[in-house]
Amino acid sequence: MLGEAWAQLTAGGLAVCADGSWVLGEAPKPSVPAAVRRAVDERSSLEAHAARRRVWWVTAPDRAEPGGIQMVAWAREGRGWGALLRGWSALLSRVIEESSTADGLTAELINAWDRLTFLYDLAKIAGRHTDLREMLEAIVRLLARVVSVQDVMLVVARPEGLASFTASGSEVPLPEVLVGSVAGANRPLALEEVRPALERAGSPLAWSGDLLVTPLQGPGGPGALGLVNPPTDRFDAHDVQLLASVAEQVSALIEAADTRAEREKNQRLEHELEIAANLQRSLLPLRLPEAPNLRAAAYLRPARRVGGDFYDAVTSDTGAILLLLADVAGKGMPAALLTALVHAVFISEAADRADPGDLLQVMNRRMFPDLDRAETFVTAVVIRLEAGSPRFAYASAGHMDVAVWRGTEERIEFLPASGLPLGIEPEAAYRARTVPLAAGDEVILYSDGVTEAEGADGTLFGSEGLSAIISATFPAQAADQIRAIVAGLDVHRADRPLRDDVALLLVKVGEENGDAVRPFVLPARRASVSDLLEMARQAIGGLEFAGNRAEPQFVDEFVLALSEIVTNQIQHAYLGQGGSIEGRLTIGRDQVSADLFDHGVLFQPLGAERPAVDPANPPERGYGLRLARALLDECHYTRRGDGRNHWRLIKRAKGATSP
Amino acid sequence: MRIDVDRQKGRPAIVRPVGPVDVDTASTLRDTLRQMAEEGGESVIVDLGEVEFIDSSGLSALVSGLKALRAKGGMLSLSRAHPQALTALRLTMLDRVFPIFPTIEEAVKQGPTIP
Repeated sequence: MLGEAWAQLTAGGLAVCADGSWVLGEAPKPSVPAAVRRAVDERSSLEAHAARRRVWWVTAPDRAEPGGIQMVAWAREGRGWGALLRGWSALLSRVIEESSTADGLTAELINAWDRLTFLYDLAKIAGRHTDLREMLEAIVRLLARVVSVQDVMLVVARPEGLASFTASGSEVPLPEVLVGSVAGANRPLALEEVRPALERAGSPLAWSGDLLVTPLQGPGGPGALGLVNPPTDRFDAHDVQLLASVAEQVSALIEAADTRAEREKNQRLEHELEIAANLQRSLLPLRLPEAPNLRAAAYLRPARRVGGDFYDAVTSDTGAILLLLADVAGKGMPAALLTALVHAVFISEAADRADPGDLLQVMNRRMFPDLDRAETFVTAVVIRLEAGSPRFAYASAGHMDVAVWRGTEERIEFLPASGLPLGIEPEAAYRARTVPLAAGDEVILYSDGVTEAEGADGTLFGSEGLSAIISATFPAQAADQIRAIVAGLDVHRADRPLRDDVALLLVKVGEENGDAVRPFVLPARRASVSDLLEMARQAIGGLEFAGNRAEPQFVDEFVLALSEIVTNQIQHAYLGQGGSIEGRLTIGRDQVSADLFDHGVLFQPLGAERPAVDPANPPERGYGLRLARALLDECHYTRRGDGRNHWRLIKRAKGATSP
Repeated sequence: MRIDVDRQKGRPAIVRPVGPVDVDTASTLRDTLRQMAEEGGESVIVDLGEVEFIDSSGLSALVSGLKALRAKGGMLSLSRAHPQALTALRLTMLDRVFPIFPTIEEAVKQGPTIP
């Protein structure tokens, strides 16, 4: 058996020599190289000797006097098999240590061979069984067969308590007593050593013919492994040695099996979560419906792999667009499962219902039994828009206020909820409100994960944070504005983990603005400025003004001015303490402008009047603003009523006249 | 940015920043110039030939170095400034504060003079 194992591993062979002759295993083919023959004759060792297209080893004899054994092994390739071979050889000789007569040698050797094979079989069992119980049952049966005992008893500590296994299938009598009898020992104990403890507790094992028990250090706590009634009268030293080494291996196998089970369980969960996340993503509309004058974009990010936030869209039979944003109370898998229900009910009811209030009412009625059973509720908002219509309708089931950006007035309105969350009251009524809507307006739906995102100092992003970014980035495209809001949330959270799901949906009314608008949000840190400057360089670098590419000098000068203003915001508005700077680059027909907003302290315009520099005593600071003003056509600073600083930078192409 | 300092007997030390002199790097230049002022009132030529970009922090560092050197009886002049640096110096009126030379040789020959 051991020979087979070796052959499998090395594509070679294995034999044992005693006093210069082969006693076990086949003689090597092709014939033995001279160096190997010599090592055996001279009773010396040979390490990884290449001959006859094989690699050869001969282990040193296990003792000096005649009768010692040597292992001869050969392999196709010399991959460090020497160490394995020496380990086997040491085991083999230890087992036959006490036999010194040449007559007894062969029998001892066969015995030792069997036991080595046993250790190999043990490892094979562990590889075959994924179930720990089955593995341990196989081990005790194998052990009983190899040592020919009447029974083998194994007691291991598991999280759920002691688990016992016997080769015979009978119960282990008083397993905790057996474990207790070897507690504190570090080697197998003989019957006479454990009998007092067994007797005291009334264990019938105290009256076995013979007994050999060893403690077992499992990951779950102490256990025991015992051999009962050997074929001969008494257990001998070989049995003691074997039992000790088996116990060691069994402990290691249990630990390995536990680790593997844990890993497999995690992999399975991970796999299931991945499926759930894909499924949830697949429920979202592939693309949001669009209509002339209506552009929509949405964003969803669960705090965990899956979440309770959700959005959906349906185009009704009459061409109206119905948009839903919902938030199932709770997070993770339980909430995610219910988003599928919201999706199914919304899709089936929305198409032929003109009124968002009616829609929420019927959705509530249909979902109530399930939500009630799950002891949860859903907040949801539905809006209905029609191309060319100067108004929209909305109804809200306890959801966050609907934000409406009034583009021409550059201000934001928040429209409150109009009813209870879904799943609270089966007959709840929801009333829709109709709100006027003009070109340039935007409707923004969002979940509480947006407004309640917490910053490093515990401040909430709030509806103010949302308004600030919308006003700073208007009139950028819907998808760009959504990205800016998400970037703003990231800056606000400052690397803290996402605590709640985030959902956002933004609809713009009116034609896309002819000017290219590039919104941005950046943390007020020096390191992020270069990103903004690079973005500006990219955006302006390829520009053509009245048919001419922007000159490199134009780009350099605008970027330097931008850099000076942003640095000023970081150092003076935020005093280097961080914060966020948001805004937009606007590329016009013959000019470039930047609008930069911060939430820092009021700017004290030092040197705003630009007094002449005294060559004898030039000031050490204050060149940034001088430089920016000199490089730009216009550079305005405004302290806004909402506590924000607003910088507006304009640079016109050569030849362009100021308006 | 790195700064090479070239000292030879009989002429002002040449300080050569290599790379952008901006808000991230200006303090290194400022510290180098102040250190030189501390060590003795020598005159210094800041060679801007390897500086493709300088912002207001860089200008501040130059002014700060100039003042420190002046206080010790030294002087600071500039050589080989790129167009971007010349524009920045001009727009901030610092071209009236620093002697500016097209080459190092001229800066050495004309010698930094105390205005």
